Amino acid sequence: MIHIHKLKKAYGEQFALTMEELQIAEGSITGIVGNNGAGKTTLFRLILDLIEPTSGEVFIDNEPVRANDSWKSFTGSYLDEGFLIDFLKPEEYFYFTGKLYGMDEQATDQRLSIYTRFMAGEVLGQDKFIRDMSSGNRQKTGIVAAMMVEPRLLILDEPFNYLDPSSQIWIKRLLKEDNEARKTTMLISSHNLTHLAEICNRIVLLERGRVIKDLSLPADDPAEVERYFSMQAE
Amino acid sequence: MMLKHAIVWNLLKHSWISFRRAHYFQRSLGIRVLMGFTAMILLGYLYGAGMMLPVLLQNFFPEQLPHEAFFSLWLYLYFAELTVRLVFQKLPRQMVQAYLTLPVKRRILAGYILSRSWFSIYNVYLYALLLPFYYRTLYLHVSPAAFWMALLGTFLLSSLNHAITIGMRTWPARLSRTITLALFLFGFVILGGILYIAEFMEFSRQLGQAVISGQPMVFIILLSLIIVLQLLAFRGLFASFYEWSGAHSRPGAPGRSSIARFLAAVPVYGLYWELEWQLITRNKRAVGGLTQWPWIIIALPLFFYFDPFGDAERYMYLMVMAAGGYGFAHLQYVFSWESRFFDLIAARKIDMEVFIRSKYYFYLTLGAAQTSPVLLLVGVLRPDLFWPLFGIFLYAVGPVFAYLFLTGVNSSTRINPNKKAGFNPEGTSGTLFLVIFVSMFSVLILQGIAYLLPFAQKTGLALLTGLSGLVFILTHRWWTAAVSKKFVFRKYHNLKKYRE
Repeated sequence: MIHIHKLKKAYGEQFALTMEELQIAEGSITGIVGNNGAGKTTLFRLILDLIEPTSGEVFIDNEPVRANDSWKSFTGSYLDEGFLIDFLKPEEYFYFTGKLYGMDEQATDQRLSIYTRFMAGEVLGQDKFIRDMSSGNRQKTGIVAAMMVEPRLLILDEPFNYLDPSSQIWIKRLLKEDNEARKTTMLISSHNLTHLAEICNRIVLLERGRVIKDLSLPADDPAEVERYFSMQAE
Repeated sequence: MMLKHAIVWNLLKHSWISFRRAHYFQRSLGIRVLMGFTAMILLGYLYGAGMMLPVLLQNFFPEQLPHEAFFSLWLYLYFAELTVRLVFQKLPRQMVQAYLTLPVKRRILAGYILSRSWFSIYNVYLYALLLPFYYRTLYLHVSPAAFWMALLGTFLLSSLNHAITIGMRTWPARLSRTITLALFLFGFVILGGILYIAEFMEFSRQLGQAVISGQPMVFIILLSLIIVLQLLAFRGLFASFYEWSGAHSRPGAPGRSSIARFLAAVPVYGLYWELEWQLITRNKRAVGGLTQWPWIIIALPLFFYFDPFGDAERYMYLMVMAAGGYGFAHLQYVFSWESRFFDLIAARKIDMEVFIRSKYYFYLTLGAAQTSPVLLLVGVLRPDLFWPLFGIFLYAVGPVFAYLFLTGVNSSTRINPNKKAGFNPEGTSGTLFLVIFVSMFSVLILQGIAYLLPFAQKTGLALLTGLSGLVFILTHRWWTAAVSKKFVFRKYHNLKKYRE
């Protein structure tokens, strides 16, 4: 579904990402791991056409993302708070996002009901603007908005951050169920290898913008990546 | 003792660093020179006004000496100054927020904030007007002592305004609102000349005379008031600390207004119109411009009606700032307002042409809604100015809006619309100054051309501005498409800057 071809992104002299080839198969859940500055967010921003590559191309469904934006109609994403409209209430934000994907308020309400337990009664009906919510609830709002539109491609950057343990379990369950039911292609980054190992069927390890390990699960052992991080810490 | 001094020293050092690293100092040399030049021009204007003031007062009040006439209006001047301060002057509290969680005594912080607040342009700028005036009237014609006493009185009155303003920033919101309302009512009824105008002018004149003759009681009373207000502000700051650290619960967010519902129901553009309405009504900085509009609706027609200089048509170019309604102020920063969530806009399937067109329709409609009552009142009070003002309205929502959109796309400044601006320079740049100048002076050029036409100048101006306005309104689909193309072209650059 996603094809990355000779993709490079440089900031001045420094290359934040250098990726020869990477294919993300339709219906797969791919975890992107790496230490800070490994290039995870840069990769996501390049896929979403939010930054300009120095060279190379990203293709979604064989179409270069920069050439047309048809991919946007089936892609859900949440990278950080730049994806939230902070002066809206969560309901208003969901309705706005829903309408961009052609959903009316009734349809949005229906979809939101799937995430009721994940939101744990702290997001909807709170009479609060997004900017006044806790980091965890803002994170939930962004994730739900990305997922509720039933995208074919879902991109989430560090979705487990700020979430309490119960919510982390819930989001993993929701992601797995969604992937099984609709064969959604997912690209998820995280510092937490355990979370990714639980849900992903592939883990890509980045270091300084390069792919240094590409594991297929359960065939490969995710402990390999764990060992890499241990070595880095020493 | 040493530790306390070290803290105060660090606070002062950090103030200096924050001043040096402020947004406006990070600009290019050319823009800084332009901003400096503009500041010099404004000071020059004040100085020139101070030099001219004795002559003007002599003409208006021939039976009085200039300084006596001036003192009759002294309190009016300070009431106007207080109004400016209440709107714009801020408490420099951002300097200490980081220290609230550190082991620094709160009374040191409170004392620091209060003393830091005195280093403000509002405590300085009036001297550019008053120094030359006092010198020409008091130093040369009364006595050097009277000159120094007047300066001391000016300093105390200005300080009293400072103490009132800073006090208002530290007391509970409800109390501050009540005092502001009481002050404005007082100003409207008494200073506004509805009641006791002669008595109040006489009181003001006597106060001025008492000051220049050095009557100690006046100085003692003023000084005592300042001290009491500063002590009250000092106490108020302690309560404010809890608010700043978020200890107080926030009030519930307002629901969807009927206007928002109405806007949302509009086909195609409704989705963005509702968002635009929420953006400008739910963010402090954005809503500030909207709440000033009722005053403009009253003030502008009255200004034209009284026409103090008797040649209102000559400075119609200034009206371009008001005639476009809220759009003129807002569109100067267009796209910077959305900078915080533009990643979302860019990652979703949004037709940029529709997005920009919807913005234009929104501000065109809002401009019409805001300017209509002004036009109506001007039509009644100054019928001769109705068509020139209508022409300026069309000009503002036509070529000026197009120009603002096009220059707005070039601006990659990130703005937090929920941060109160006051005189906060965030988002202001030399380019924006230029944009405003160009917008206004383009009308001046049309005004010049109007002289050459075989009509009365007002008719010529109305025709030229109205026609050029109509051309841009009718061709808006073309130029909004050009704006959207330009934005897409600059997308990566702008998004990068918005994120920084």
